[in-house]
Amino acid sequence: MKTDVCVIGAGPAGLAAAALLARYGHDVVVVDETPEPGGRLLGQLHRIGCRTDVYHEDGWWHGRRIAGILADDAAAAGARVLLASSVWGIYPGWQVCVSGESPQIIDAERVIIATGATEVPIPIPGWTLPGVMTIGAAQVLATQHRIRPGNRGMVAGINPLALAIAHELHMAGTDVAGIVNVPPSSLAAGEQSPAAVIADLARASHLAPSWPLRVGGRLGTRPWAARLAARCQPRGGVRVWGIPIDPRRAVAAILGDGQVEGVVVADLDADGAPGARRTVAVDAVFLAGGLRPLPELAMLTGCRMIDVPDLGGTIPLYGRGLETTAPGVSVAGNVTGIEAATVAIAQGRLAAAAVACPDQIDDYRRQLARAREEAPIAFLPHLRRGHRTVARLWHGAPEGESDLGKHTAVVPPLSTASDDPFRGLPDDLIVCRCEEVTLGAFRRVAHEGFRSAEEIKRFTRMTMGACQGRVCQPILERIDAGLNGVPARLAPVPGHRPPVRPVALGELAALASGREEWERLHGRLLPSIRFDDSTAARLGDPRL
Amino acid sequence: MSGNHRRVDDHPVLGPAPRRAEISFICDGRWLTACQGDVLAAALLANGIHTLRAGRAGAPRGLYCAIGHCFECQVAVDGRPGVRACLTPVRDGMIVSLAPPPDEPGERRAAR
Repeated sequence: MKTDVCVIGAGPAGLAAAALLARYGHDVVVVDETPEPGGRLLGQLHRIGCRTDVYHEDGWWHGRRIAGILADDAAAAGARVLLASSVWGIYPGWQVCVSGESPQIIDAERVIIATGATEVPIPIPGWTLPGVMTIGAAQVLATQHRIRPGNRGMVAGINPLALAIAHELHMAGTDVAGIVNVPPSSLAAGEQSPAAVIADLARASHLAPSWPLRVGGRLGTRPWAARLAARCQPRGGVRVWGIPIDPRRAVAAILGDGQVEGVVVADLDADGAPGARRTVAVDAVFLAGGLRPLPELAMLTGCRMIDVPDLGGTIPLYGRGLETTAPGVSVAGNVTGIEAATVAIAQGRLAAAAVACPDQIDDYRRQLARAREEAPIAFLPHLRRGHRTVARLWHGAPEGESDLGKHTAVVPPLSTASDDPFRGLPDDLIVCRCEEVTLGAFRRVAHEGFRSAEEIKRFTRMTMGACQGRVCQPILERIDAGLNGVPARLAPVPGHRPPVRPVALGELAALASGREEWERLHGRLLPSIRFDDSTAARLGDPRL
Repeated sequence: MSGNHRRVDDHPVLGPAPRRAEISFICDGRWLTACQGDVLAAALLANGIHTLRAGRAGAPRGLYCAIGHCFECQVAVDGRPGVRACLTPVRDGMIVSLAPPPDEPGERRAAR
């Protein structure tokens, strides 16, 4: 298939970009691996005061309704949406390789990457049991599919996303036994002292109908007040929608034979040190480690990547119109940083406008600024500072610590048990779910002197399984950082290579040659694809 | 409809669930029901099935991310392995096999 612009991701950013481009007469194809357009909008349902506008009905943000509006806009403008289709590679030119119902290579003049975010894992003992899922998965089940993810569940991780989704679970009839902290281990992303959590909740306090949380939230913007609030909180935490929220307790382990039957909850003091433990009976655990931009497809284009913790992690460097340093490649939505869906929509339009109507780019930048000001939920506290960092780097600031892979610490191998940065965590804790790599395997390779993420990856196969690091990359970074005594954000991020999704050999064979034979065997008619020597040469690329 | 006790039939904001046709599919030799438009992972959970595959040592695994990122929910559909249950709509008469532990070459196991 040939097209002017290939948009990857049919979430709020991708659909908004496609609609505007198509309206300006561009031939647009949107590719998404889910069966329904809308991305994470499909599960969103929350109430912000009594706001009523194009997106809010009686104050309710109903994501699926908004997804429908955006998808209809894109279709009406003439954009094609290719669903149930996974992009597994991007090659210069641009050649977007797609697997799924109709395996093909899309030849596009331009690519807009709107692949959104992924959830940061919380590896605690028992986290591979059925019934343990990310808080985002619980949202998809409860609101999008209308299936209760559990009858009684515990949320591990206290942040604005966890609070918003806990309310959705409550509405779907799941009894949320509590929203508690993550244990103080160097492997759990988002690990926080009770004081830090209270400061964090300041950004979600408008969601809370309960006055202690609102007061605590406002207090929490000052560090001393957050510590005071952490000490003075009522025993058992505060309640929101009847759900206890308690930063002074943490899920230390998940129990069950074959599926979740309970959790071990440990008390924490104000600084986060664990104390007494007790068991709570639940049949589901929802891990709320927070979100990080999903950079894999952007990385495949070779655009310059930067690390901006204020925006949630590794992102492509982008300019005024969301263009990257790779010619013809733009980005929009949460792949540029974790922000609200209304911001993603405005970013999609800006990225499209920079291509379709560059003379109006300032209007679209103003719309983006307004969307940011009016965003209902701020998932990260220092977004403005993050945006300034990006702008500074784009305008030629010298390469600095925001560029990836700058740390080359040389540290002697671990010698004694007390040097182990993950002490207290068991050897059999799985840190890479696909390849079933355990923490013990790391301790062994570290003992042999292999300490960088790249070395660990090669020796253990961590991040090399079916998920290609989408789940376990942050854990690898933390292990690397822990072993080398540097902050996690300085650990180098291993790159990505195609295929970033598993691809059946038959699909590749069908693309390269022998298509008729494939269709004779499988009876499936592939869409019309242009086959020539350059296609075959591309598929012979040694990177495959 | 048997075993669909997890369905949110009445939602305080979204209202009653839209009426959808009931369809049937086979999972490991058992006939189960689903609603037209369900994804497989949701239909299995509605039928009380949490374990979708087994890890290398046989440990049970289930739905984890629900949006196609993690590949924990891979099952076989109509004989095709490696299908993500979270992204695949159920079709009437679909044949699903929950994945057994994969065979693994000896040297890789030894290295771990």
